[in-house]
Parts: sequence; C-alpha cells; structure tokens
Amino acid sequence: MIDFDYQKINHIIHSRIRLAVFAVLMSVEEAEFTFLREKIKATDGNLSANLKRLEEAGYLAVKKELVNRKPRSTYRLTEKGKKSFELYVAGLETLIKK
Amino acid sequence: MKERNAEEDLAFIRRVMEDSRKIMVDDGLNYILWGIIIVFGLAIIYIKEVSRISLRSDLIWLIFSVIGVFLTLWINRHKHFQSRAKTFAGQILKSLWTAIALSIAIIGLVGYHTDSISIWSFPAVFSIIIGLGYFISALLYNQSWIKFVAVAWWGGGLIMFFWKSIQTIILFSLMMILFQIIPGIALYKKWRKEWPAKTDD
Repeated sequence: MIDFDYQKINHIIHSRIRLAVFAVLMSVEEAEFTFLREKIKATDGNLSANLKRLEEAGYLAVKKELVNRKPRSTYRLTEKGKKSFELYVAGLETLIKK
Repeated sequence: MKERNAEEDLAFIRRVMEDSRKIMVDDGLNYILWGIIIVFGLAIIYIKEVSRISLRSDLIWLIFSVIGVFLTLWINRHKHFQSRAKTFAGQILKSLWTAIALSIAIIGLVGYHTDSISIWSFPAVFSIIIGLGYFISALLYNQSWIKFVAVAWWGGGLIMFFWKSIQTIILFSLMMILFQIIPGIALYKKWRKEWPAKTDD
C-alpha cells in the first residue's frame, strides 16, 4: 500500500466524488446534472455542493438553460480543469512507480 | 481517506471513465428518417419509370432532400434538448454522416446533370459510400454488428455495379429497409433503453 503524499496532492480534485466528476467529464465532452448524478451515484445535494466547489475553483464551466420551462445545468471541464486532472493523474502514476 | 492509495484511485478513475464511455452516442432516428425518405423517393422513381410518367427525377430528389433536411434539423434540435451528455464520438458521427450526405448529393446532382455517371450506377456508388459510413459508425457506436451492415451495403453495391436495370431500384429500396431503417430501429431501441425519458428532472 502506497499512501498519498498529501503535500503534493490537489485537494480539490482528491475528494472521491469530485474525482468521479472529473473522470466522467474527461470521457464525455459535456454532461447534464442528472447524467453526472446517475454515473456518480451521488445525492442531489452532495453533487451540487461539489460541482459548485469545482466551478468556483475554475475547473468546471456550467451552462444553465430552461428546457420545457424546467432548469437544466450542463457541465464541462475547462482547460484549467483538464490540465489539473492530467497533473493529478500523472502525480498518482509517479507515486505508484516510487 | 488515509486508507486510500494511488493505485485504488487510478483504478477508480479508469472504472468511471470506462463506464461513462459506454453510452450510446446517437439515437439512430436519422437513419430511420432518411431510410423512409429514400424508400418513398425510390417508389416514386420506380412508378415513374414503369408508367413512363414524365417527371423530373432531380426535382423529386430535391423535394425529398429538402423535406429530409428540415426534418433532420427539427429532430436534432429536439435531441439537443433531450441529450444528457455530449460526446466527441457523437460529434464525429454527425460530421461523418453530414459529409456522406453531401458527397451523395454532389455525385447525384453533378453526375446526373453532366451525364458523367450513368443513372443506373447511382445506387451502386451510393451503396459503397453508405457502407463506408456504417463501417466507421460501428467504431463510434462501439457496436461491432454495424460492421456487418457495412459489409451488406458493400455487397449490395457490388451486385448493383453488374446488375443495372429498373429492378435495381427495388433492390436498393430493400437494402434501405433492411440495412438502414431496421438498424436505425435497433439503435433507437438501444438508445431508449439506455436513456429512458425523464420528466421529473
């Protein structure tokens, strides 16, 4: 078992739920809230709070629109988000190789 | 959290990414729509040829193409509001079939007016092009059975290169039903299963 070096890890990405958000959005270009919720198996409140945190960190871009008079939020990773995730994964791989 | 390790996290990322990639990239409605439009167009052309009615074939196809384009735009607009995830594969798929449709339109229109291609060769040429589209689509949908649809189009195309007659229209129509409308229905059913309509969100 190799423990993380918490000094080097990106703590915003490191949370399991946020990590899952990154993983989903790296696979699809953009995803609606319900799609993310389905794939991550998170509750509305928990997912919303974590998406908000990623959005505030500049990792996520959100598009809000009304579809059939119902609000719909679509999320995608920003360039900063993609880069940070790649660095995070590279960090994990380095840790494994050590 | 302390219990987590890098290997576990990488495996988790991989699992989530693989699961997210397994989604249907398209609902197949456009295959059904264009299949029906072409079968209708071919039926009119067949009746026209058999009954020796004086109608301009290019005008028939122009009318059907315009109807098809409008219906496609309407479907795609509806899809945009319904889709819950946009994938890169889905965008490639859209570009691929747009390019194929344009190529067929150019060959049909220019070939017909310049007499550079015999009108009886059109179904064969179009079948080969459609086969190419299905072969690439198989990869984008991640559905290997679509490759057999491509092979069927190529096989039909080869037959039509040698067999040029009024009956070619019937064969081409049958191919449209078997290798365009039916696969479209199969894709649509799979898509509906994966993306059940949600009205509560």
